Amino acid sequence: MTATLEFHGVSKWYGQVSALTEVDLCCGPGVTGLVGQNGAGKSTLMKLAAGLLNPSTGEVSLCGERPTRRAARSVLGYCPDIDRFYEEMSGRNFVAWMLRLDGMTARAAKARAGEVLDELGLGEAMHRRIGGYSKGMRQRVKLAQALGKRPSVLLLDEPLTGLDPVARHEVTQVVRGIGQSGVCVLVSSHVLHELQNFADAGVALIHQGRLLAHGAVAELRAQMGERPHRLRLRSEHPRELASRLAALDVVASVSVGDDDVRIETRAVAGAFAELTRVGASARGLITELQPLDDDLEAVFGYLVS
Amino acid sequence: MNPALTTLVLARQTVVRLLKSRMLWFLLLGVLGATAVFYFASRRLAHSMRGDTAFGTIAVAVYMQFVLPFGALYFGVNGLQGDIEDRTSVYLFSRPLSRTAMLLGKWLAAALVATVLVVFGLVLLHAALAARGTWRLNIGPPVSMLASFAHGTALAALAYAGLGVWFGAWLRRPLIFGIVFLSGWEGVIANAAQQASARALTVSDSLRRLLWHAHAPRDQYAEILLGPLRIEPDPEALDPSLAMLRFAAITVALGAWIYGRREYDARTAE
Repeated sequence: MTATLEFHGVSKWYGQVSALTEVDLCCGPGVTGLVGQNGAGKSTLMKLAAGLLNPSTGEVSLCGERPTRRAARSVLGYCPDIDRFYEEMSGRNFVAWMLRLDGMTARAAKARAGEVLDELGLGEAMHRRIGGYSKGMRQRVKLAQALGKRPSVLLLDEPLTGLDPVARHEVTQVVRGIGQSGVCVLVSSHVLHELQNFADAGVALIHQGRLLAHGAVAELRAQMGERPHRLRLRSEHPRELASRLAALDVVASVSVGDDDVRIETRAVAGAFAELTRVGASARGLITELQPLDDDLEAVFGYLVS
Repeated sequence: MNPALTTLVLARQTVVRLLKSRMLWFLLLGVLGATAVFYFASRRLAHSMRGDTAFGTIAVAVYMQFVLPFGALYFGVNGLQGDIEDRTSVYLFSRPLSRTAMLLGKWLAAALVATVLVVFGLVLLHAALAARGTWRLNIGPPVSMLASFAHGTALAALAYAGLGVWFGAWLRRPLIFGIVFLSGWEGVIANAAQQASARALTVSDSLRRLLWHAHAPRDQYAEILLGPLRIEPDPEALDPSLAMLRFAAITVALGAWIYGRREYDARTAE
């Protein structure tokens, strides 16, 4: 069975308020990032996938089953965005209890809870009360209860919130590993550059309840032909470089700084060929080339604007 | 997890949760306070009534008409709504569990906690009344009354807790509607309706009939069981135990139907 999560024409209304409109999205194995501003509909999409909400129209399918069915939930791991727990429980007991509800025996659940908490860096604190945990530790407990059952489909709603940089890196590595093992992972976040680092199956950009785009960041950027690409070129001779670049047809605009030149181009492939030629013509003319807008943040900004 | 095990696990978790409820401790404090009051009042009561009459009257007035219905209803509502309100229900709702089994677990837990609380209060009351004074005609409160009160308490707790889980699954302000039901519907219909079929729609009528048949009450105890209109129990009416179980089954079924279709946090958009 291939781990898949599919939305077909899914809309969701809360009374008169439309939270999602006609969303079509298909996620397969690997990590798919879900990007959007607050209120864009990310959490609603996640809750629909987890079977916590029913779509007003359209269909959601989780490994071929409706998410509200127990068969679908048995392959689902869900890390919600809320920071709520049974505060009096220890981290290990909470995760073990969740795994018990997932159908594990009491002994297996306890063993697996210890294992997954250890993997997430909570090995020493797992016996303490959750009420005494820091925000980052609570976040990891939430992740552990979702990862513990080894799900086929994993939904992570803002999983990096509250984590320090080291913990973010560790969690990112864990999630990336899970995605590479064939699990369908959908991760929502507003920390775009971090999402870009581990969303190997592409990103879905959502804005005001509508899915704007879905695919690899580079592909999405390449499709925006009408938007000029911006490049920054570091140079030991910026004025000379600027005058040469201004003469090129592929360069739409040039601006000069103290040690760099910024250009805009609509023909990015042709521009790279020309820049290679110019850079090779004189030593120190181009020492570094940095695309300024082919990252997720820029793509998202273009699409939203 | 199979539904039976889900029910047991959720019942256990709900009991643990309810044991931390302030309302339980408030009611327990009330029970202890009432016991102390009746301990000191028992000598005076003993001059004017028999022990069985005193015990029956107080047990019905304090426990059957107040602590039991309010406690069981509250625990039913709280058991069901507690994790919805604090949003920890997200962990349960996203797991492969039967919603009906979850609701059954919460219902049983609420009924169990209410039953234990009330029976504990009745035992204390009995001990307080039995320990003091020489009762009229030398008839103290018999221990056998405790058994029928415990029987009635357990059945009524199932019914009231059923009402609690139904209202908890259905209404936004279940406690307010519950209190309106208890003080309005139960109070008016059980006391004022002439037709037995109408009174059968209440729990308290069945509970009173059960106690009436079990104790053959007299004096004040008989008066409180008959109500202000002094309507004697209809011998043709459905067996009171079955009537309470029927009430519980209907309310729990309605609650399960609603709970099974309930969306998580559906009222809050992002």
